[in-house]
Amino acid sequence: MNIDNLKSQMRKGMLEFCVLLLLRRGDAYASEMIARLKDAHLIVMEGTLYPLLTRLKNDGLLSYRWEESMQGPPRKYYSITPAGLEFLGQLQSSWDEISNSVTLLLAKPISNPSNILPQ
Amino acid sequence: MKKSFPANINGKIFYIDEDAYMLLLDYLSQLRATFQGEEGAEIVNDIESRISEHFDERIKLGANVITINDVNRVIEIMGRPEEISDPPETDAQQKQNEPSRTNDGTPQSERPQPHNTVGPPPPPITKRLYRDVRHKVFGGVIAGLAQYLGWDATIMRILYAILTICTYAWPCIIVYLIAWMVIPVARTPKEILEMQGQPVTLDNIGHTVINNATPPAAPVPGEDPSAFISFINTFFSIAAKFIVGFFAVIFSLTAFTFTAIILASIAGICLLSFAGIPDILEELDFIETNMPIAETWGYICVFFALLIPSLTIVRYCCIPLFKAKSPAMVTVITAIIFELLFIIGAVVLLGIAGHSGEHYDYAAWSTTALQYTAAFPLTALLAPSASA
Repeated sequence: MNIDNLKSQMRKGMLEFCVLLLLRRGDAYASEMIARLKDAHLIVMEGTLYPLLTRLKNDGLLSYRWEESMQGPPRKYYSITPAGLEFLGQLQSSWDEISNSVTLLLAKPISNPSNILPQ
Repeated sequence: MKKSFPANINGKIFYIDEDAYMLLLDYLSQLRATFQGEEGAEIVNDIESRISEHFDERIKLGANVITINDVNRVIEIMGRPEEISDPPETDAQQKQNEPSRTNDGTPQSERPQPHNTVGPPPPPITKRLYRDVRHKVFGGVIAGLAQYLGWDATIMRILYAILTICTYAWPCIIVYLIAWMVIPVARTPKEILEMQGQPVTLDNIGHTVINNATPPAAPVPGEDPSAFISFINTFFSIAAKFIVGFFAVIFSLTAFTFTAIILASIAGICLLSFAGIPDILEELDFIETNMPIAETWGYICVFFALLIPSLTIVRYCCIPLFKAKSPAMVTVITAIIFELLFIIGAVVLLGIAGHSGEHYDYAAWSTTALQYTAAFPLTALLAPSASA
């Protein structure tokens, strides 16, 4: 079992969920999302985001529009679609379940472990 | 000191060093190879625009030019193609593949290792024949062939020299000259890696770019040549300089003569097309006196008119045999123009010679033969370039 591999797998699974969560707060363009995700220590490689965005867009969960920018070339602003919101709802309920399970297991044991072990 | 030039990255102009530009170009082309199709192009464009933003930040911080370090830093930030390519599909494929592999009774050791399952497999290694001008003596043909075969260049040179002596020089010299003309030079880092048969990955390209910035001190990098081998290589280099110098003089004289002949041929065609052929031949005395010379040069034109298509055939045979690259469009067009000039020259010169009465049949035969060969090289040249 490779620890780094497992860590990155966990992050990868989370990334789609987090991108959708980010966009539920408001529309954003890729660089903004990268900055937020980096603050949250969710991505290391910036390039990872782009294939993911394209995939979500192709699945109809996201859409984008071009907007002129004062600082440079036009930017792609992503927004979440109704289908995306629905998808996010499902993801959130399963996240809640996972979160509950993990929280339960993370909590300090109430009973003395020696009670469970055969004497 | 480095060469740098402006480059348009997603609508913004950046001054970028040549080596940095090469590395960035290779990075983007590898991304394109990883992300294919219409949506792949979109992904690469998005990444390119992000790279542009990173460079912009760099410029705002006071940098004047994008260096190779900046490009390396950006590649590290963005991630290498194999690190950022989409995992879900590959995972699904592997899950499909794995049960069938186990059912086949494949031994455990042959199954893919767990750490290899992340990302696509590395690009396949394609080894191509190039001329290695970094380790050249004449034109880098033997050095390139040594790289292709994985042999030692010095040993190959000695063997070739012995072979040259054994075959009374000319066959080997002609073969070498043809190889020199038809095998392309390994110029870009990508081509150098292809020549050495190393996988074209970003690590390797970056390494090659840095290696190329400083000229190699040893004939073969990574090997410490013994005194004997360096003596042999120095000997070959000095001999090469003498021979190259000798041939340069001969070739420049020949080239000068041919230019004069070609110009004369063009002038001749103009004259012949304006005035009637028999009249002009009767009226111009000098043609009578210069007859043997016209004939000789006519046959030389025939020789070159036949040489160009032969070289073309050899060149195109190299593509499947050594995985050589197709020649550039400019080369093809130049070859066609020269071919036409030689044919016209030969027809005119042999026509003049033929009218003198002597050797008439011989000249007429050559003219007819040329008419047939004229159609042949054009199709030989155009067909592969059209299909490529």
